[in-house]
Amino acid sequence: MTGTLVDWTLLGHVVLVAVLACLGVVAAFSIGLAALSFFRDAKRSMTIRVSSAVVAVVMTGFLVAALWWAFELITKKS
Amino acid sequence: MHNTLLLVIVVVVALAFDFTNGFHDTANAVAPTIATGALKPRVAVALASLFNLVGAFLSLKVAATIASALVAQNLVTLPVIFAGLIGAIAWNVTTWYFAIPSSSSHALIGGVIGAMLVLSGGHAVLWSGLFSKVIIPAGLAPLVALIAAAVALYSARRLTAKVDRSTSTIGYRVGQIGSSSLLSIAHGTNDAQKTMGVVTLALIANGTLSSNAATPKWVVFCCAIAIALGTFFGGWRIIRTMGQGFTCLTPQEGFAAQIASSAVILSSSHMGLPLSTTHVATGSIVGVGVGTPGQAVRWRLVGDVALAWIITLPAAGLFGAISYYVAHLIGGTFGVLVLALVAGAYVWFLVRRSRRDVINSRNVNDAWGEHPETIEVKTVVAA
Repeated sequence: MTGTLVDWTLLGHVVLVAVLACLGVVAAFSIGLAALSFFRDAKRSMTIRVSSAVVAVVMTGFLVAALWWAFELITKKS
Repeated sequence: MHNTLLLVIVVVVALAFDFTNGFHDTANAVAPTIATGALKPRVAVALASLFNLVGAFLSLKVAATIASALVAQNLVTLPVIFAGLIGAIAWNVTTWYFAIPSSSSHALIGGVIGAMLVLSGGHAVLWSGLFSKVIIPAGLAPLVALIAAAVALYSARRLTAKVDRSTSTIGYRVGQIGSSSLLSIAHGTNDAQKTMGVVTLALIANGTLSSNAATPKWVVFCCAIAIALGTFFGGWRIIRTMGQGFTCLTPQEGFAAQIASSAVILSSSHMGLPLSTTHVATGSIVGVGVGTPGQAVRWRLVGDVALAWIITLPAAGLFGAISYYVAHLIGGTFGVLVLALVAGAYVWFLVRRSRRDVINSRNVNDAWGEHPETIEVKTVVAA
């Protein structure tokens, strides 16, 4: 009976998109945080520190894009 | 038919509902932020209030409906709107008093359905819509959020395993400021828009506005201010439940929970399956508790909250039905006025009683009193 009341395909898509979006943002933030920590660690090699800085910048860009996408979703549906 | 006094009463009550919606739902955005110390309580609430205001002014497309796809819109009258709002306010304030997070949207839907059942009977309610758009999503929302939060937290733990604790703590606290603000904007957009729709519908039902007229600017302004003020008031009792009651939160867990809430709310809304913000936020917080090995989750409290969710629709419906019946019995605008005063007295009574056990910005983070229950027999507390 629930098959006629609930669009299970839609629900599956919602779960998938929500989990992936959440995972993506949290992972990007965590990677950025780890990269920042490595960059600030004076004991690490210059190569690692520079690479970490690049990773941190890339993750920041990803997060800004995610934030822009979220804002678009909020304003589009309103 | 024009009835200015009745219209004024309905608009005032709608703004009162918007206010209760504000303080009732503050916790959804700020509870983890306050619990982890990312922001001081008053600052967190002020920020949430500001972003609710911003979100409310982003509400450009207002639908002049109430409980659309759930009740026959052609039967909705000013007294029905009034009774629905009274039912919702009564339930909102009751659950606030008992410090239980519950859905304001479901309360409004329940109140309107209760009033419609008294007015027109069961055929005025679109039962299949009620199941598919309200009841089933209400059950699924916390589960979806729980899964998203648990998965996100697992990835965060693995990715920051080598990061020193102080950097991690500071980093996630900063992240929580952003996630909390995003949730507040989303809430302001959604919920203020709902009340704008109700007020616009009341204006149309009274003949003050034509059916295809745009929402007046004063409606947008008043609803935005009402929800922001309610948020600023801060539902501290519910903030405490969500921040301290279900589980202990670290900044990492708080961040994962808030991002999970944002992702679920925005993606589900975008894909045409809007879910309750309260249900999602609660599911996320429980999800991070479940996703942390050895962490205690107060399942008894979770059960109490789930029970409150189950009875939200019928309870608000009962309040709405009684309100409509009594107002109709007394008759006319006078009946509506009497009901408004009775509802005001009930709210005043609960606010007075709440003074016996004051929860405010100073004690909202105090340790939870009861002994925590766990699903495994292990001891407590991530750092």
